Formats: sequence, C-alpha cells, structure tokens
Amino acid sequence: MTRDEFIKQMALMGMGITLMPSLLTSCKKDQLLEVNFNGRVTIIGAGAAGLMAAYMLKRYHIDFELIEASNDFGGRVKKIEGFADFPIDLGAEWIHDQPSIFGEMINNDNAEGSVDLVKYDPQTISTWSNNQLTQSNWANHFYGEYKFKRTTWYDFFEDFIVPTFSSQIIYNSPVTKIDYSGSKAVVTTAQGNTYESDKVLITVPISVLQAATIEFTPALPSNKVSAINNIDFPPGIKVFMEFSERFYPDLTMVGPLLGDGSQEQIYYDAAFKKDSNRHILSLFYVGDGAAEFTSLPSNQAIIDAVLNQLDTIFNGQASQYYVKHVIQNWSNEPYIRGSYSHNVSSSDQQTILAPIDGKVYFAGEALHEEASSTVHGAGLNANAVVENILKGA
Amino acid sequence: MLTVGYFGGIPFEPGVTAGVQWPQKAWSTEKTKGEQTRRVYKYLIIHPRVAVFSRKHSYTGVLIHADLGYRRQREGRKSFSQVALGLGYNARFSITSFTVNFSGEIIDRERERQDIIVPTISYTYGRNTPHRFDWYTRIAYGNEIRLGNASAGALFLELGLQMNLSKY
Repeated sequence: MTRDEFIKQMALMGMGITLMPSLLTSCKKDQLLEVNFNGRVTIIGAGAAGLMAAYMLKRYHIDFELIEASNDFGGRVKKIEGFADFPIDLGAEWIHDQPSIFGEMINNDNAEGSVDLVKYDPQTISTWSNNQLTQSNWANHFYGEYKFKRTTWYDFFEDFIVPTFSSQIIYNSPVTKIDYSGSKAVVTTAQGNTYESDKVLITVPISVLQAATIEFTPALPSNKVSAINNIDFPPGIKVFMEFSERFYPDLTMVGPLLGDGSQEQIYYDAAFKKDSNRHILSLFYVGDGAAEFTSLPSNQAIIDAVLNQLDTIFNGQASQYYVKHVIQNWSNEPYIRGSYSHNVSSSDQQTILAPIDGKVYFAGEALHEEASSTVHGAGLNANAVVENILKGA
Repeated sequence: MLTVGYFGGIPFEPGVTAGVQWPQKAWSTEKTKGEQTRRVYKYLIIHPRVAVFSRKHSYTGVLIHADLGYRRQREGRKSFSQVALGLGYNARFSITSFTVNFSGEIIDRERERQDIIVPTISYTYGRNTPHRFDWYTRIAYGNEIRLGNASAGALFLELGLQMNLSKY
C-alpha cells in the first residue's frame, strides 16, 4: 500500500466513524419487517405477552382476535384505584430493566408517549431473620430497579398498547380446546364459541398449561409437555395495608438478606417516592413458602396472619395502627394459579418455543431467555415470536 | 501533593476527585529484624478533597471531605500504606422522579437536595514511581448520616494519582 492509498483509506475510515452514528440512527427509523404472512392469528391470553403480540400484529395489519378468559386485560398486570391516593399495582410492579425498555417493548419509532418513573433505591432497609430485626441500610446502594411514579404497569398497557386493538379483545372466554389437526387451527371456548385461524399464539401462564385445562388435538408433543412441567410456578400473594402511623422502614426483608432466590418475602413502603400522604405498606411474597398465606381459607384469615407477623416484627404496632387492606391472592386466580416462573432452563424454553406444525406457538414471561419472570421479558418474547410468524418461520 | 483520580461509591457510582495532601509531621524509626536494620518513615497527612460522583437515574453527590492519615513507608520500598479517619459533607442532588419517552430519552427530571454528613475510615495503598506521579488506591467505609433520615453504611473507592510538588 502506498502512502497516498494509506492516507485515503484513513480519511474514509474517519468519515465512516463520523457518519456511523447518524447512519445507524437513520436505519433505526421506521424499520419494518419484511412480512411473509397474511393469514389470521388467534392469540390466547391478554396478559403482557398477549397484548404486545396483538400490538405488533395490528401494526403489521395482520388479522387476529385476542381471547381472554377473565373480564379484563393485563393478566398478572393489574391495578386498583381508590385504595390510596395513588394507583396501586396489584400484580407486577417493578421495572427490572433500564427505563428505555418501554421503547424496546413498543419497538415502534412512530409511537409517542412517555412514562414517569422513580429509581427504586429504598433508603431504610431492615432484615427480619432469626426473630431479629437488623438494619441493613447499606444495601440501598445495590438496588437498580425502577417503579412508576404516578401510574402503573396496567396504565402503560391501557394508555399505549390496548387502544390500537381494544375492539379485538374477546373477554370472559376461557379456552378449553385447541384443535390443530387440520389445515387451520380451531380454538374453542368454554361457551362453545369457535375461532378458526392459521396460527394460534398461546400466552397463558405456564401454570395453566401445567394444569392441562386446555385440551390439544392432537396432544402436545411429550417433550413439550415435559418442558412445561419442568418449570416452577410457585404461589404468590400481595397484600396492601394502610396504617394511621408509619412504623416500618422503606423495605423489610423477611429471611436472610442473601437468600437462594427461590423465595422472596418483603414488606415494602408502597408509597415510596410517590406523591402520597398515606402510609401504605405492602407484602410481596412469592415462593413455596407463600403458601402459608395463599392457602389460608379466607381473606380475613390472611390479613390476620399478616398482621400477626407484622406485630411480631414491629412490636405490636401493626394492629395498633391498622386501617384497612386489600389482598391479591394470585394463587387463587383461576386463570393465573400462582406467581410467575422460576428456575427456567434455556433448553426447556427452546423446546416450548418451537412451533408445532407451523400452527401453534407459545410466548410469555417464562420463555424469555434473559428476562424471564418479568413483564418486559413477556413483551419482548411475544415480539420475537410474532416476528417469526410475520417472517413466515 | 496534589491528587486527582477516580472516586465513586460501590458498587457503581462513578465520579472524579481532586485534592491536596499536606504532610503535617514526618519522623522515622528503625526496625531491626535479624541482622538487618531498616528505617521506617512515618507521616501524618491531612488530605482534603472534593469529589463529584453519581448513580444513574438516582443522584449526583458533591462530597467535600478531609481525612487525617497515618502513612508508613519502609526504607528502600516503593510502596506505602496509610490508614485515615475523615469527615465529609455530601450534598446529594437526588432525582425524585424522571420521565422517559419511548425513544429512551429522559425528558424531565425532578430533584431534591439531601444533606449528608459522612465520617469515614479508610485504607490506602500506594506506590512511588520514578515519574512525576505516584499512584494510590484507597477504600473507605463511611457512615452516611442523612439529616432528617436514617443513616446508612457506604463504601467508596478512590484510584488516584498524587503529584509530589516537593520533588521538583
């Protein structure tokens, strides 16, 4: 290479480096997929995965219906208003990724909107272990999650996702049968309604598949059934309580600070960094141990047991200052049956994700390799599966 | 001695620091081990510093801090170590909330200031070089006493260069 050639190449490389960011940005704009599918899709389950799948299909003008067993969308994304002076997430609450994840989920450069967030970095942290309450405030430096400031996960879907296809959601329609033996797949609901489509995307919780409440014709392949049954789906519950006085830290972890991750029981200030004058403490309990509350015979028995535990931890102050409560027992929800997936292996995910006869697909929080057990994991996984459908894969 | 370097909370609250080291007292002692006698140089050093560090989407802290350290260096050795007690004031500008759009841009932030007093204990390991700058690593444990709120432990890491003006 001559000196002149070298100088020219260096100059071109320099221009490339200078122009690369703008080139990349321009490539990102309105980058639509090449679609090789123009059939009809039936989505089963209007949780985070089902909603994001519908959003993407709508964006690509694909015909579909979204069948939901309950009377509302969201699945484990659920909210209550009026209990406090801010809306409360009865289900998924934290954002376990960077704030830009909303844009990644929507994956639509034309979508406009924003969300108000707070960094979840509780300042006062205690651990309750071996009947001792220990201050562990230092742990606040290790929190890297986010929460909504004024809204909820449900609001995100309600405001930005669902409006584009709300008329295509069919509520109160538990699916009982999926027959994919013919050229089309036929979905039958408990009411006896049938929906015929080219592809069925199943986004119900893994627990529903484990309970085998949906009959498949032909039966699901045995390796898929094994993979589904390998996934842990333990009990889960959230209890929100209002107190007239605050007696608790921002976060109380029940059990050792560094547990094995199979179980998590925390009492946390649900009003943390919210614009609130109320004292709202919440119990979040997921794991096999949560059955100590979820399996109790009534909500009264649950609140009695929770207040009893709080009284033990905080010297009787819970009963003294208790005002009211709301309980969300996810294990008792007939179309949820627990909390969320645990201990999911990559090989089981791949087995479940593999389409059957090009007609039956699965998506959901359990099936995202890096972000299983999260809302954004459910959404991103649904996006990926829909992308495969659109590409004709 | 002038100091500059990386300063941040652990695990990842990166920032920068600049300061001055003033030796207040220097003396030496002899230590005999077997047939070898070695001189050990000892110093009392005051090290005021200013540091700015931040935690993503959470806060930016401006720390004004000074510590009094006892430094020890054996004759013929290039490395030195120091323990120090210090006191600092951290003006923490916390982001109480922020707004992110679907392009991932932060388009609005709400902030509030927290006043934090930080007594510290620290250990420094450093090494002389033949060049203008020596380097040091300092790890400090501080108790963040938040005015009007509960205190919390914190670890700080400093990776610095010190320029010994008296050398030149």
